[in-house]
Amino acid sequence: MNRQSTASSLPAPVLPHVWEPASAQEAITLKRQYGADSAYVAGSTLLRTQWEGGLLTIPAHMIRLDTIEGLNGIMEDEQQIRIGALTTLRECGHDHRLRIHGNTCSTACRHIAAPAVRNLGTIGGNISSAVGDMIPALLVHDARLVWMDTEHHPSEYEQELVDWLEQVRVGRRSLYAVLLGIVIDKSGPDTAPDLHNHQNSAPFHTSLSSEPSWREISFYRKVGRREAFTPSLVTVAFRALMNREGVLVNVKAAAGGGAGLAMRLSRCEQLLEGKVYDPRYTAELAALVEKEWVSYSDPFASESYRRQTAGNLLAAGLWETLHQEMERG
Amino acid sequence: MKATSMQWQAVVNGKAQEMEIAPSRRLLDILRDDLDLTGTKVSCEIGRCGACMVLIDGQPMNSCLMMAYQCADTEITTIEGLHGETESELHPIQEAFLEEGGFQCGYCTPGMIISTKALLDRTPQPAEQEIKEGLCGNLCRCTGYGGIMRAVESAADKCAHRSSLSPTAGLPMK
Ligand SMILES: Cc1cc2nc3c(=O)[nH]c(=O)nc-3n(C[C@H](O)[C@H](O)[C@H](O)COP(=O)(O)OP(=O)(O)OC[C@H]3O[C@@H](n4cnc5c(N)ncnc54)[C@H](O)[C@@H]3O)c2cc1C
Ligand code: FES
Ligand code: FES
Repeated sequence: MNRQSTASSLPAPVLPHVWEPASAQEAITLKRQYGADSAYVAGSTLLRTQWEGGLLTIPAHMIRLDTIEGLNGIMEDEQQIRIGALTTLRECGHDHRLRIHGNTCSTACRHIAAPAVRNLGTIGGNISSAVGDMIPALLVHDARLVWMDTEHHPSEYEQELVDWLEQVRVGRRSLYAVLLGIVIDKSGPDTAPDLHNHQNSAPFHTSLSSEPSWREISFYRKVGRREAFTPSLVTVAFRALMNREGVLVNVKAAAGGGAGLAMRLSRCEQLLEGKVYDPRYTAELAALVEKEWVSYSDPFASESYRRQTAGNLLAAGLWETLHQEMERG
Repeated sequence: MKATSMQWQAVVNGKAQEMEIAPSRRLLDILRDDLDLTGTKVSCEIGRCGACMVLIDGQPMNSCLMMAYQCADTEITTIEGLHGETESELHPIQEAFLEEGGFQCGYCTPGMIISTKALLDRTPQPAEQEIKEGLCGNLCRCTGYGGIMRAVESAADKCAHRSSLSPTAGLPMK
């Protein structure tokens, strides 16, 4: 392999080698060769924060991912939206297809960092960090990740985001896999509800026969303290279908934020599934998030504060969103 | 497998630059130490304060976050590249910051002005919320944001007025 030489005017040993793999397989070969002395680099916005903060040392080998073809941009077919891992947060936040079919993801992109950081930072870097604020938004869209890993058969494969997060949680994520892209199923105003989940749901069946029109309601909320140089405290995302009678189905809720792993809130989802929203759910939902969501304490915020914030964000977000929907008629 | 070359080239403030540098060198260091363009300020070095803001192909970017290879073959504009109709005149955004008390110590000002330039190029008459969003990556630790908001509003009017007089006046740089 062809290594760069060191600049004569600078001290010799400290300059990293910057590699330009032409494919994900080449990137993996380099990563296997240099191991912990190397890092995949996308926009480098998070890496720079970690290097300057002393959380990680600048690796001797930087493996560029921007030289790999096909990782940039957003594509769609009839059923899916596929986002290349190297697509910038800015591009994701501006994309009209994502706004229509992945509303919470689009909102999340527009609420990460500031515009200049979003011009450089990528969606793939956000997910690969495992703590990015995109993750709760992607969870409520049942996003799948497309990976390349030469140790895996087949080497290119799709994995549910929720399954990958579980691997991260138990410390079994692959250190070599390259994230190629993210896939979400299209949704939109006329999305049909998933009938199979509602075999025993009386209110759902009644309303479905009398009211065929379902629309998606969704929101994303974030509490952050960026100006104080800290990452976000809490992010929540919510997505469901609602008919004109206010019945909620296919309810999906997730919470994350800070350095904690995001998770789906299945008990909260069950609370609302197949029901007509009632204001009494507001307090119940907030309390349930507090119970269900697993967070952590740090010098800035205790775990109980984070849980309470997540509960309030989700409950208030739902209340506000439903009110807006009712006003729209 | 290929490694990124040490040959770096870019157009900085309208002038072609070619150098032999490490591809991982930060743009901030290239500008301040190699090109002596010290108008770009250095503060947090982790993308949070906006003091190091520059335009890369017209888009605002934090030069402390960007490595040489990430901005090779681009057009880079620093605060030194902004001027009015002639090189000795101030850009209308600079005038507005002066007139409206948009700074005290001035350390954040180059970054504020660069972000304002990017904002007004995209949104010539921004609403209050758009100004806040456009400048949310720039921190000021001494002026308070009232004067800065006024300065951006005034800059929008000045730029609109000058471009109505002449489509190119007041916006000479790329
Ligand atoms: C000022 C500032 C504010 C920020 N605010 C937020 C915020 O509000 N919310 C938030 O979530 N984040 C925030 N971040 C963190 C960061 O900007 C984002 O998470 C961004 O999306 C990271 O993308 P990147 O391309 O820069 O990743 P990089 O820094 O290049 O990489 C991040 C990690 O992912 C790995 N990686 C990257 N791409 C891939 C891939 N395709 N396959 C495998 N591994 C990969 C890298 O090896 C590295 O470990 C902020 C950062 C800064 C500097
Ligand atoms: S020095 Fe670059 S953002 Fe603060
Ligand atoms: S004018 Fe002093 S930091 Fe802004």
